[in-house]
Amino acid sequence: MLVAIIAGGVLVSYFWLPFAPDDTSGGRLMPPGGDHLLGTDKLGRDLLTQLLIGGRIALATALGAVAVGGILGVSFGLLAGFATRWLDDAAAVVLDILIAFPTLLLAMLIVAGTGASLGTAILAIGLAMAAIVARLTRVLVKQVLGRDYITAARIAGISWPRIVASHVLPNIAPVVLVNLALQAGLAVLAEASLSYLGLGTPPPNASWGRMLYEAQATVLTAPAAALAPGLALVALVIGMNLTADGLRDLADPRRANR
Amino acid sequence: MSLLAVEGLTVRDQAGRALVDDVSFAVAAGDRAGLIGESGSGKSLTALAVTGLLPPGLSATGDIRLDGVDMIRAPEKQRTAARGPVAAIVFQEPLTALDPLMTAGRQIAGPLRRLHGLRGAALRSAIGEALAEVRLTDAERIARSYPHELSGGQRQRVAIAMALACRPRLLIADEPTTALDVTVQAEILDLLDRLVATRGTALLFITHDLPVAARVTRDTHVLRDGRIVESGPIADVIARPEHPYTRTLVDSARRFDAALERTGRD
Repeated sequence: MLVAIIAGGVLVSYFWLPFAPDDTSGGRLMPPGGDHLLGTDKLGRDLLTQLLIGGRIALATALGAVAVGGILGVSFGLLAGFATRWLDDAAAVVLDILIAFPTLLLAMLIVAGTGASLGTAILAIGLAMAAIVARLTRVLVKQVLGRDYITAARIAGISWPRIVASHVLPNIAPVVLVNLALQAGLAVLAEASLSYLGLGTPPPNASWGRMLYEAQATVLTAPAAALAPGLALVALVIGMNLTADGLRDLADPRRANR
Repeated sequence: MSLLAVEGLTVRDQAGRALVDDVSFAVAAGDRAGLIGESGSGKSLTALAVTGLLPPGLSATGDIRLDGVDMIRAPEKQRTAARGPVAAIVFQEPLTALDPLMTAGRQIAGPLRRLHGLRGAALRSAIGEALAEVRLTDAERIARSYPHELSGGQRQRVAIAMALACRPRLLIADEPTTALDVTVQAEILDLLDRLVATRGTALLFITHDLPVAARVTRDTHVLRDGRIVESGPIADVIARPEHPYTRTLVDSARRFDAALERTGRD
C-alpha cells in the first residue's frame, strides 16, 4: 500500500510537479503551507517537488539494484548450489568475503573509477545485494537438491535444466522473492546513505539522502526540510518490508487461502 | 541374467571410511529381495548406489549391473537411459518424496511425459489410471491436490503411483511404510504386494522391520555396519538365524509378538 502511494506519487511527478525543480522564487526555508505545501529548502526550492523527484530516484534504485542483485545473485547461487567438494567450499568462501566487503567501500571504489552517478550507486548496491542473494540461493538449492523428489526425478531421467525449472526454482522462489523485497528496502536506505555522503546521485537531482544532508544545517529552524525526506524514506522502506510479507503469503500454496 | 546384480559393492565417504562394505546380491526379473538392517547399516546407500545416484562426496567401487548397464563406470548418458525405464524408487518419508509446490497429478505426469512421451488427454488418462491403481478414490481431486492437502498414506500412494506409472521392471522401496500408522502401513504393504505380483515387477525392499520383510520379500539379506551378515530365503532366515545379529532381530520380533499375545488374552 505504502509502496503503491509512493509509486503513484512518483508517476504523477512525471506529468505534473507543483513547481519546476530549479524554481527558487519562493523564498528560502519557508515553513509548510500556502503555495508550498511542504515549504521550501535553503535555496528556495519547493520541498514537495524535490521529494517527488527524490522518490523517482529511490524507486529506480530499488528496482535497479534488485534487478542486478537478483539476476546475478540467483544465477551465481544456483551454480554454487550445484558445486561439490572443493569447488563448493571455494564458492562459499568467495561469497562470505564478498558479503563482508562493505557496500560503501565498494561504492567508493566504483565511484573513484567512473564518477558519482545514479548508475554507479545502483551498480554498487546491486553487487552487494548479489552476494547476499547468492549465498541464500546456494543454501536453498542445496536443501532442495537433497530432497527425495529430486532423486525421484533423476531416476526418471528428467534432465537437469528441467529439474531446475520445474522443481528447484519454484521451491526456492518464495524465500528468494521475500528476501529481494526486503533487500529493495535496504537498497533505498543504502542509496540515501550514498547520496548523503555525496557518492550517489549528483546535484542538481534531488535524492532523499542529499535532501537530508542539505537540511542538516537548518534542521532546528526548518524541520520540514529534514522531516519530509526522512519520513518518505521510512514509509517506503516499511512499505517494501510489508510487501515482502505479502509476497511470502502469496507465493506459498500452504499459506494461500483458497 | 539378473535384472540387478551387485558384486562387491563398497561405498566410501570422503575420509575413506567404508559405509557399505563388499555387498553382493542379485535380484532376478520378477523376484522380491529384501535388505534388512538397522538405521546406519548402509541399506539406503546401497539403494542409491544401485541407481548410480550417490550423494556427492561418496564414491562406489565394485560392480553394479542394472539391466546389464554398469551403474558405477558407464557414462552418465547410459546410466540415465538404464535408470528411468528400468528402476523406480519409493522413499521412506512421503513428505519429502513429493515436491510441495506441485500438485500430485503434475508430479505423476513428469516421468510419464519424459519416458512415455504422453501429452494432453492421453497424459491425463494415464495419471487417472495410475491413481486408480493405487486405490485412491476421488482421483480427480487428488490429482489437483498439493502434497500438504493429502494424508501421509495418500501421499505414499501418490509416490507409489508415480514410481509405478512408467512400468519399471524393478521397484526399489526404501522403508516405504516406516513413516506411516500401523493400519495404513498394512494397507500400503498389501498394495505394493499386489501391484508387484500382478505386473511381475521385481522388488528390492529395504526395511529395518523383520515382520514387514517377511510379508513381502522372498530372498533376504541382513545388513549390519555396511556388511551382509546373512542371506537366504526369508523363511529360513527367520526359522534358523545363523548370525547372532539376525538372531537378535528374530528374537525381538518374537518377544514383541508374544507380548501382544499375552496382552490380548488378559
